[in-house]
Amino acid sequence: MEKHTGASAGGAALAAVDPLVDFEAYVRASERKHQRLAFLLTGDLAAAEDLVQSAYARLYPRWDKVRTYDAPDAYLRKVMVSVRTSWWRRHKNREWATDELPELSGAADHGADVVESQALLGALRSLPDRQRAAVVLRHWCDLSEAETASIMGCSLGTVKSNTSKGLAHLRAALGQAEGEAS
Amino acid sequence: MSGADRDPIFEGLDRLAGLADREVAGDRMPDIRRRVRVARQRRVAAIGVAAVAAVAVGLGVWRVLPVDDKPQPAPQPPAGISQTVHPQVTSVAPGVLDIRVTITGRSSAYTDASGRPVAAGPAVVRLSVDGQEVAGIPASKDASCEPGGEVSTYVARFPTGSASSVFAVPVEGAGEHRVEVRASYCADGEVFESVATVLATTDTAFDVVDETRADLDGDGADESIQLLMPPAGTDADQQVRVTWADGVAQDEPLPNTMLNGASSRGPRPRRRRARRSSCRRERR
Repeated sequence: MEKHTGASAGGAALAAVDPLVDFEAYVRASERKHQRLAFLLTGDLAAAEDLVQSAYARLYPRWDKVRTYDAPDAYLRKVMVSVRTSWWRRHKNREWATDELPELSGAADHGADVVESQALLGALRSLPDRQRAAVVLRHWCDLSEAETASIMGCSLGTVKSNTSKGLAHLRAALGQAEGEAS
Repeated sequence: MSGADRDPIFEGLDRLAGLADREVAGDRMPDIRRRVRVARQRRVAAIGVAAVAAVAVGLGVWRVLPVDDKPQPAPQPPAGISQTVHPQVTSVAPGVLDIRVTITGRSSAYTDASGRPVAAGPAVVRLSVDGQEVAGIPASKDASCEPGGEVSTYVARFPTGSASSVFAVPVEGAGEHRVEVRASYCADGEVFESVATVLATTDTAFDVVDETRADLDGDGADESIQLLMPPAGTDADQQVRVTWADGVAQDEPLPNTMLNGASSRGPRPRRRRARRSSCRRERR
């Protein structure tokens, strides 16, 4: 199991490389973890794919500058959260959570895990956008409160309250799922 | 917090995130480049729209607001075509201005409905006193100013008729009155307007101190005879006003009637004479 710590896939060491080649290398190196983050932020595979592509497309024109950062991933995460929030604002009247969850193939051998993942995904989807982002950034990306606040563009207090509420909701969902599995 | 702590939330989220792995696309770059290109085109289009909007707003503001305090030069008629308006204003009686207007010029002839040339000169004349139009010649529906009209010289008088005809315009209050005359003329298909303004001063209003009626001209109809006293503080003489049976008024000054204190005594003998005359007429 890999826990993502925001480490750069490129960084200053690539400064002398052709930016386009460098960007393609960065995309290839980082797409998997960013696809995962996007899925957790959106709760939907198709939306996650779209979110990752949109974030890369926004990063591309600025890559010459961002590649010199110590942690380009942090910049990309910020872009993803920002894009996701703007989508939510644009489509909030047309989007709603549903109880119908997708079939989680590939995990058929692990019945309890499937139940838990389905419950977690349902709970994650039902979270408000900011709570979801706070929980994912804090507990899956393992970012500090300050880093999370910077990415979300809000105060530490907002991060704390959103994380607390989101975690409580997820723990309740997980506890219920464990009860059902046992 | 770290992964070593076996945080159940992290475990659950990480397991869930693993579902996204099967969705990883083959080569992302073509789609990323396409999205960048589309975004760039949208940005360029937005900048273009903003620029057009800014230009439109700027033009609107430029049209609405005066950008230059300098007066714009009036359009000039072609060389050799001009018109001059000469208003003559006299104050012959208190509260009345006599106005006559002479218009001289050289301009293109108007054409009638059938395209035949009609006389050159002013087609529309407007006479206004203190901003109110008091007389004029309205525009004719038949006359139009067309290019290539024959150019000729003219002298026109208003009111038309004899040279001594005048517009008798009553005015309120003594003092200065603004008389403006506007007369249009045709200059090779374009109508221009010449304007003249004069300031006329009317005498201070006289008081009617006595009045009688008598048949002065023996036509069987009585005329009105009024004795007019100038207001205090003026050097004017007393006047006698005869209003003939046809309504025309004629004022004649009575020289030296207001000199050396005559103002207080002057009218009395005349009033008495007028009364006697009236009595005589009644006796007849």
